[in-house]
Amino acid sequence: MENAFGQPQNVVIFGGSSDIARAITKKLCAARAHTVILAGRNQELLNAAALEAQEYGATKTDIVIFDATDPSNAERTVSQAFKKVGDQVDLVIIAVGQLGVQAEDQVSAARSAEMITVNVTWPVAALAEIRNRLLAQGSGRILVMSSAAAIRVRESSYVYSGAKAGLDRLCGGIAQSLEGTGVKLQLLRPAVVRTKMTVGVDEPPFTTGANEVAENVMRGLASNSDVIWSPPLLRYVFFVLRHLPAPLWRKVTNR
Amino acid sequence: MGAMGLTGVVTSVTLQMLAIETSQMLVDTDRFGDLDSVMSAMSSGDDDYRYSVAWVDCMTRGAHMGRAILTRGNHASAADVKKAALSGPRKPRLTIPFQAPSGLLNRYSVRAFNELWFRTAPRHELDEAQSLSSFFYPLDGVAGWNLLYGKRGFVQYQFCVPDAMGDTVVDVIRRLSESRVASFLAVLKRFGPGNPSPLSFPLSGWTLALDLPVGADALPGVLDDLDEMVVAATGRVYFAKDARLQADQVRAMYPRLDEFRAVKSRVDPDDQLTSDLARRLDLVGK
Repeated sequence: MENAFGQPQNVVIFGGSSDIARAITKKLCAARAHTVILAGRNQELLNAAALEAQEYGATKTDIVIFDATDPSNAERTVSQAFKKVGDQVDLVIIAVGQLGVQAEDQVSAARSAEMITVNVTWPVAALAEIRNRLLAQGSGRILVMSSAAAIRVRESSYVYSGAKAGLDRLCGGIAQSLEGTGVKLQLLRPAVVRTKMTVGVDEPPFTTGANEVAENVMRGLASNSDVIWSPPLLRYVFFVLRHLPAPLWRKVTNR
Repeated sequence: MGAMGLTGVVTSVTLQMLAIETSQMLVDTDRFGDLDSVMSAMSSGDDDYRYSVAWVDCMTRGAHMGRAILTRGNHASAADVKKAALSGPRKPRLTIPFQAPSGLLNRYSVRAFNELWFRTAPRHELDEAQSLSSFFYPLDGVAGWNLLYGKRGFVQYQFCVPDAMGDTVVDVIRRLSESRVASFLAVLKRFGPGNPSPLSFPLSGWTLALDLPVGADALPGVLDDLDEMVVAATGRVYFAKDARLQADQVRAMYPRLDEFRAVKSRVDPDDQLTSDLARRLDLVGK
């Protein structure tokens, strides 16, 4: 059961070995989380993340291995993870994603398709099952890693940001469908975050570390806002950017 | 009583009532510039009154830390009050028309409110006639006051410590005032002994109740610190108001928890009755 600050006890994280997921997990465990189930692709990284969760106070951890390029496993993966919790699930985090390499993705049908599969199709398939289970339970919270890039797709990363845009809008619909049910979906929209996924990426303004994102997530859980921006100022920056005329937008983004 | 609704359904209640002659209270009010003086006034003088409550300012630091307004009263008899009669509660004078934006109640606005509350209270007033509702429920003078907290709402925190541990009340208020989290006037009272139930909250001593707007980043950590101070003073936090306690602390606060669990497993062996509180604080075991 989560407390009045939105701090959960039982957590399931898909994409649990990502740097941002690990930073969030640490903070959750330092607060109230005692059961943490981490799902992802790489067993070694997941075990390391689970150990880290224990160091920060988790008393029960386990891992689930899955491959996000195959959406047919989404339902099974969710059901395995929930089973391992063995209790009510308070918070589900979807941190599954792939940044890709724009120059290579945009010229390859297979890679373009895979980008959409990993960033949209698998998460959305999983969300259908997560939604069913939390609704049956009558409570729970879902946090979906979107991106600030989802708000306005730009040329230099259109496969990734376009995929995130799809996920983001779809989640907006899920969030509405959950109103009044006791289940809540919150979107996380960070700017570029310095992680192993973004090594070599240019650092645009508002780039932060994973720890700062995790702090904003903790605040967002307490405040119940539909969208958690990181850094929070982006809410206003993107309010302006999303309404810029196209030629101006291109100018701003093609620095 | 005192089983947090986990052992069954109340099907019949016998209440002992107190007969009163009027709907008025005779109230004495005193203003104190610091916490020590109000606590010693309560220790020595509360026995003369049926009801006693101190409103403590938890935001002022320094020499005036914990300044307070002490109101104590007895039911007025018909002879006490001219033209006195029994009348229903009055309608609130002020109504909050809609939910305020979150963050309206921050440390600046709350500090200003506390200042106003303190300054407008009489320094020393005797035998003032007050209605039952304004004496017992001063907040209800503002209808919908909860909407002031905005969407994020607020948490309540109430603890009690034994008489000998009165210093913990001082330490708690110091911790709160130094942390600068917004806290409305806290309510300080003296407690008598609890009932025989294993999870009974009261114990002879002091109890402090706080209303805290959710939003300050420091708040969850500050309240965790308060838990530790309360446990160290062999006190406990009130389940009925709790929304964030840790299961680990509950055993220390309620040493008779296992007794309660034994009753629970006897009367409800299949754990048919449970609650969010029970799940969060592990009250019925796994």
